[in-house]
Amino acid sequence: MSVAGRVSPAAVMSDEAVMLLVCARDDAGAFGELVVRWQQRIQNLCLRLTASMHDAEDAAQETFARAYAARSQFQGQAAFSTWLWRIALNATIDLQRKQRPRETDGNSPDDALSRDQEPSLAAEQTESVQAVIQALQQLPDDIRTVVVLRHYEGLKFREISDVLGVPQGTVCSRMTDGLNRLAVMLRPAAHGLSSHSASEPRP
Amino acid sequence: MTQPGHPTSSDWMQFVYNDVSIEQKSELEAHLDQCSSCRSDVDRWRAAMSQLDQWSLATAQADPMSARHATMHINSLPSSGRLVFRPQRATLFAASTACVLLAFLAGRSLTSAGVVDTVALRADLKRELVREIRADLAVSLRGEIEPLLKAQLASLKPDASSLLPLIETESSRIAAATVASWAQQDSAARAGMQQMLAGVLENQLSLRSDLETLAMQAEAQILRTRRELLRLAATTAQDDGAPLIEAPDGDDRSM
Repeated sequence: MSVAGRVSPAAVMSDEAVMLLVCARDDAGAFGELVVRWQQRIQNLCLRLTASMHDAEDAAQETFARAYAARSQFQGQAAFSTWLWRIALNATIDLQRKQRPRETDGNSPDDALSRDQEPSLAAEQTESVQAVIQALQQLPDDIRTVVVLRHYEGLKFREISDVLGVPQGTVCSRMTDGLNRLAVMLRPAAHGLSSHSASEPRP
Repeated sequence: MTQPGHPTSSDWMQFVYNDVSIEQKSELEAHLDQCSSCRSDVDRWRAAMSQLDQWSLATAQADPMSARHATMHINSLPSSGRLVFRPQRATLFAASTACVLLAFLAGRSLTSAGVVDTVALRADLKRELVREIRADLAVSLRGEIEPLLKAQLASLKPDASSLLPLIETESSRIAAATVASWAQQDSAARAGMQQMLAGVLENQLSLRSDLETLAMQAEAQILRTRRELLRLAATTAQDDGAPLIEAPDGDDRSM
């Protein structure tokens, strides 16, 4: 948000500083800056966890609603990102729990792609991507959460440990388990890319 | 399952995600060069990671309108029934400036553990916010007052121009009245002087008349006296037979 040609605060202000301002002033406008920054990432997280654009949007909105409602609880002891990730994960879990009774099989690959008849999510994806989406949905929730946070959102293992409230060793163990399972589920495609397997470590 | 003498799965996970120090990386790479089992595991994991990379999503920040739209739904969600959300823009210019400051203050307030020192942050924020608000308000006031004064001055100009004829008329009236007053005073003075001069002249004329009268009377008396003397002289001479006083030449006036 720029004012009269001045530098936009969002360009240089930390998330923690903005959140403290929100807490101090009940400033919904400042909270909007955080929404601008985080909405896409939160929605991506929710999408990868739910494989449903509709659910991802609902979960993302619920995340920010809960974050604003709980703004007084943010005291700056933890990073804002850690706090927000935790809210997003809980919102997604709660949303899936509400929807689970309606599903015949929450982990069915067909259900994962046909949920809410989302042609956009399936239609845009190649077969390999569809395989990835299905494989992720077949992972246990706790493992899928670690895989998505580490691999797609780039959180360090210690950050994931803070978000989930579990030891870092547990996080790494779940990640190992997740990659092992994905390697098996994606094996046909993985074999096809075996010549590229010796890639450089991820940043 | 971690084999004895081999790095743990935690080590490998951090390795494949490049979350290790340079020294650790060197050690683990050296182990991979010598251990086919760990090498196979790492290759398998990296292959799975490559597969995961195929599912890419947009990462750009949301535009402000979509964010505002998203936040407008906050109070419509069940979990936020108690929430009163009023989307509003930061109307205070200084608040935005303070937000810029907060970024730097937050960086200064980070402890060694990377946690934000909120007490120090808030103290710094208060000082900087007050200073910035004062400076920005001063700029804003100058920016607002100056145009306002100029506008008011411009609006006053027509009033000043309309007063000039009145001023000129009044000035003329005053000047004329003053001149008239002076003229009146001058006339009165002149009349007084004239009257005084007339009086003086009259007195002079009267005095002259009196003097002439006296002169005539005196002359007449002198003549009478001379005649008397001549008569007396004649009388005496008749008695003595010789004149005592000779009559002046040309004076043959008889008594």
